Amino acid sequence: MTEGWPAGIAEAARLIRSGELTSRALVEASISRADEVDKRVGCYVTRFDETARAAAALADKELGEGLDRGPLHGIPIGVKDILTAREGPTTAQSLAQDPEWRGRHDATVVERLRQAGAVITGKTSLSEFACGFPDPEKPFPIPRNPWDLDRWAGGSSGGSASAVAADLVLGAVGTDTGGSVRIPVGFCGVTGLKTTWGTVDTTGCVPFAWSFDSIGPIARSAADCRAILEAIRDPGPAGARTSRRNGIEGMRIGVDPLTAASAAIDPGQESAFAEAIGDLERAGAIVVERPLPHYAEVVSANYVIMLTEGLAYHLPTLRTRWSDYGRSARQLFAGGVAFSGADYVMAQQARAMAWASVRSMFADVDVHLTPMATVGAPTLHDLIEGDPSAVLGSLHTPYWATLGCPTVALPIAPTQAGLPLSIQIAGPAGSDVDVLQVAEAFQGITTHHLRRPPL
Amino acid sequence: MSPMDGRAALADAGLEIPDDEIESVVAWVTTAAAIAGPLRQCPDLLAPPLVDGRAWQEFGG
Repeated sequence: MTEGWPAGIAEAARLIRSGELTSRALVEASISRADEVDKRVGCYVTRFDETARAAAALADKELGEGLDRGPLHGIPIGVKDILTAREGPTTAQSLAQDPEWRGRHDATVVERLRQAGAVITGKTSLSEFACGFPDPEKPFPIPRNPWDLDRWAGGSSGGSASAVAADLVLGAVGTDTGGSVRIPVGFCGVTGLKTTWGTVDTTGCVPFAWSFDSIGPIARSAADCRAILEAIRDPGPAGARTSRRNGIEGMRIGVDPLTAASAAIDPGQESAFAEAIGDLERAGAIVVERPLPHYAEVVSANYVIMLTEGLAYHLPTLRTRWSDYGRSARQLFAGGVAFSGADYVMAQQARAMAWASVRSMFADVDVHLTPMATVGAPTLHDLIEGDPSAVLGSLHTPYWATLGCPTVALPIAPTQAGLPLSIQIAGPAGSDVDVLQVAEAFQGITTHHLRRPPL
Repeated sequence: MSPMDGRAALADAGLEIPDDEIESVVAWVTTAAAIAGPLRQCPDLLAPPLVDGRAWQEFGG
């Protein structure tokens, strides 16, 4: 752990209120840490050092005057550079993106973070337009993994996850369309939530696939993710749901190891997954095997809808500015031409079919648990120069994105090389707080989320 | 989808791919086409109603 850096948002909030820490000191530590490591890790596209200092001073002043905006008051938070903010441009990590898109108005989620007292430290790096792999030929930082700088932080919200893992910020927001919060969270060993589709307003977020795009919190722990979620979710019925549970004693947890559906499996994966299940059982959960219904069709639907909608958004620009896109993103979007209108409709039908089956499953189990991925983070060399199909075929995030369900990813025991491995816990639509509470209970009896990279 | 069909689909979309990249793009397009395979081979998909707001609401969204 970086010396003097709080363990998480909750601890920082406590220290600030007890007078042992100020927001100004916390933000200075955040800036110093970025100065120290960000050239190597590549977390930020743009830093807002001066406005962050001013926001921290205001946060301290408000607290001194008795105005307490809640757990995020004075807390440094990073924002994925696909969300607009008033301080600077929004690049979506692409030369094809108009950096002045929406005229530097805050995205709704950024506005809500500010209202909650958060200090926005900058815009974090990502995969171009939330899609694909890093492109070393483009003038943007490559999000590297703090556990091994030769490895990928994951995508697409790589900078958000690596900034939390490397102690540059205490929390961040990312977006998830097919796994873009959960993949980097899992590879970097932190915690993140793909929110129920529609729970967090996406105004001010550059679209990828309208049917799936969601915004979610990233932090060291599930409890800290809950603090961010409370600040950013919509006030309406979908966002305002609170937990129906307290603890995991007697909870029924469906499990699917997805072994047959994985293209590659790390030698340590099976034992780490079994250990996590054992921990939940010891905490009083009832674990039952429940294969995910219509798995192949739902994953297929994710790619068909995501690439079709992505192509719909980008096609006019791809026609005229092909080379401004990075190689990976432009090729992935172009893949949308492979699908017919009938394919798109069948993909939407697959969602309806799976919703019915999954609704039945959630009548029998409270939440469902799978690996997030069955491998640790790949090397950047293998990803960029090699064949990424084994990595893609080992990610199990698209299923829950297709169905719009809240899904939290969190670390379990690492690989033998010390790279993070992770699980994901999903629940019915609207049960965002419930799945975070399960993760919180797991983290109450384990220490995987407390591991820090040797950076 | 054959490579020839892939090239045609890219051209129909108005995408002009540089010569040194066209083969890899066509290869990805033909791979992507195969991704839709499970949907094309699932007769059950003809049974449920077309997804709409009601289906999502019934799911709890």
